[in-house]
Amino acid sequence: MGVDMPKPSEHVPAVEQHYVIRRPLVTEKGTHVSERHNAYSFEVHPLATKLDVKAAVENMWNVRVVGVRIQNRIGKPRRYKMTIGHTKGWKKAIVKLHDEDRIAFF
Amino acid sequence: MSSEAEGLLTSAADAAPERMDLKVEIKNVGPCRKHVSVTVPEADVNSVREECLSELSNRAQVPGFRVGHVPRSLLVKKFKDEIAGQIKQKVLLASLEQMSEENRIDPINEPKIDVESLEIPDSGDFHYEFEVEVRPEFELPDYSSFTIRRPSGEVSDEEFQAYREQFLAGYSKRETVSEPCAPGDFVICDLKFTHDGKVLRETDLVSIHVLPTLNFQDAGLEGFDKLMVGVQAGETRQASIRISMQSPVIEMRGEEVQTEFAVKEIQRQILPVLDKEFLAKLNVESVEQIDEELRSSLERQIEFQQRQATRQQVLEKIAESSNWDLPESLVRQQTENALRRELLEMSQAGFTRDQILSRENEIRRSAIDNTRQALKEHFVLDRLATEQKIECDPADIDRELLLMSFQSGEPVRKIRARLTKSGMIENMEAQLRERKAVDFILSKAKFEDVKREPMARNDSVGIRFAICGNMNASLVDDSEPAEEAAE
Repeated sequence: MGVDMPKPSEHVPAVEQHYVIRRPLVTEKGTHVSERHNAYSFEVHPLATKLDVKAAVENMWNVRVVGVRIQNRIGKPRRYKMTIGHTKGWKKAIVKLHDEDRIAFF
Repeated sequence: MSSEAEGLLTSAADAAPERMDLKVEIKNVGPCRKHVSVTVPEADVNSVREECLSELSNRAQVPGFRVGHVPRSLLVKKFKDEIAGQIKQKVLLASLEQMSEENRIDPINEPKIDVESLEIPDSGDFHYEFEVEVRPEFELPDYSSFTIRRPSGEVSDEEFQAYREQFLAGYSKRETVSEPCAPGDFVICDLKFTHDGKVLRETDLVSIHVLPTLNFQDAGLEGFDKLMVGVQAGETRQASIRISMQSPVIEMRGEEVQTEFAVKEIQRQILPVLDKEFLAKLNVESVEQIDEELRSSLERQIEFQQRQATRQQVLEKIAESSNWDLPESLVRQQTENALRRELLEMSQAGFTRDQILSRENEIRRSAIDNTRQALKEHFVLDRLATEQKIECDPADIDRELLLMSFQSGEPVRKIRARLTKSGMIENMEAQLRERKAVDFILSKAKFEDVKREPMARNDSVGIRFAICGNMNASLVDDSEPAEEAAE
C-alpha cells in the first residue's frame, strides 16, 4: 500500500490543490472501512495523482496520510432509445490516515 | 421536512409515553389563571432521544446505505431539525399529559406555549413555563332548598291579536302613500347623527318601522312613533339619543347625539288577504288552523318566558351564593357565543326575525354583563350536569330541530345544515344539556305561581348599525323571511 512519497518541495501538482477532492464518499462500505481501517474514500479529480490527494487531504483536514490508493471507475453503459452511451468515468481515492488522526465527515 | 421524516413524526406521536420524573410548580397568577413551570430531567429527554433515533434508523433512507444500516452519527447530522422537532413534540406532549394527570388542573383552553422558541438542550434538564386558564373552583349551592316564583296565566285575546298581526306582517306588502305618517307605517329616511356640531355618521335611505321604540346597536330612542306620526315625505324630524354605556367607543358613552331623520318616503303596510292562495302558501287548510298554530307558538313563547324567568331565578339564587372569579379572556370569547345561544332560543320559541333583531341590539348593549352571568350559569350547570351525569342525546337534538322546523316551515335537513354551517349546533347541544340541568334543579325546587306580564313585544324596531364606531355584524340571517317561508 505504501506510496513512495517525494519531498514536498519536489512534488509538482498535476491539478490545483483545491480542485483535487471533489466530495467525500459517505456510504455504508466507506463508513465500515473508515471505522475498521481508518481509511476514508473520496471522489477526486480524474487527473489527480496519489501525491496530489495526499497533499490535499493533509492540508484540508490537517492530518497525516500514510497511504493513498486510487481506483479509476469506468462509466457504465447506458442506452437511450437507439443511442448507445455510457455514464462518466470517475476517480476514487481511498486515503489511509495515521492511527491517531481522524476525519469527521458526519 | 422530507416525507419519511413526516411519517416518523406521526408514528412517534402515536407511541405510548413512559412515566417521566417531572418537577412541576403551579402558582396562582390571577383569577382562574395558573402559571405552570415544568422541568423534564435529562435522563427522560435522553431516553426520548434514543427512542426517536432508533425509530428513525429503522426507516430512514439515505443514499449509499441500506435501510437500517445508517450510522447514528450520520442520522443525527442529516435529520437534525426533524429529530429536534420530534423530541420536542414528544417530550412536550408526554410531559403535559402526565402533568395534567398528576396535578388535576382543569384547563378551559389550550395552554399558551411558544413552541417555536423552546429548544431542547443537548445536555441538561429541559425546562419550560406557560400560563393556562382553568375552570373556576366553587362549591355547588344547595339547590333542593330553592323556592321559585313561576309567572303563569292564560293567553289573552289582545296578546293573541298582536301576535297574529306580527305574523301576518311578515307576509305583508308595502305601498307608498302621500298621506302623513301613521303609527305602524314605514318611513324611508336619510339619517344624520351629529355630536357637538360634528357629523358622526350619515346613512341614506333607511327603512324604519314606526313603533314606540327605535333600537340602534349602541343606543335606543323611546317615543319614536310620536316623533314620526304626522310627518310627510320631504319633511325632517330631529331627536336626541343617548349612547349606551356599553358602546365600544369609550368617549361617546352616555353622550347625547343629535339625530336628524330626513323623510324621503312613507310606506304603508298592507296585510295579506287570508284567501286560499295564501293558505296554500303557508301549507294550511283553514284560517282556524293558522290561529291554532299561532296560539301554540305563542304558548311556546310563554313557556320560553316562563323557563327564562325560572332559570333566571335559579341563577340569581346561584349568584347569591357564588362569589368566585371568572377567567377574563373567556368572558370576552364567550360574549359572542352567549349572544348566539340567546338568539337560537328565541328563534326556537317562535319570535319573528324583526323581534329577534330588535332584541339582539338590546342584548348587545349589555353583552358583557350577560356573558358573565351566562358563564357562571354555564359553569354551575355544567358541573351539575357532570355530577348528575346529564347528557344531551342525538334524539334531543332531533326533537329540537323538528320543533324549529314546525315553527319556521323549513325542512329539518335545511335547518340542520344551516346550524351546522354556522356552528350553532354545538351551542344547541350545550344549551340542551344546560336546560336539562335547569330542569333537574327545577324538579327539586318548590314553586310559587305569580301573574305573568303580557307578552306583546311589537313595540320596538331594530336598526342594524351602531351610531358610533363599528359594532359586529348582525347575527340574524339577512335573507328575506317571506322568501324562506315560501320555500
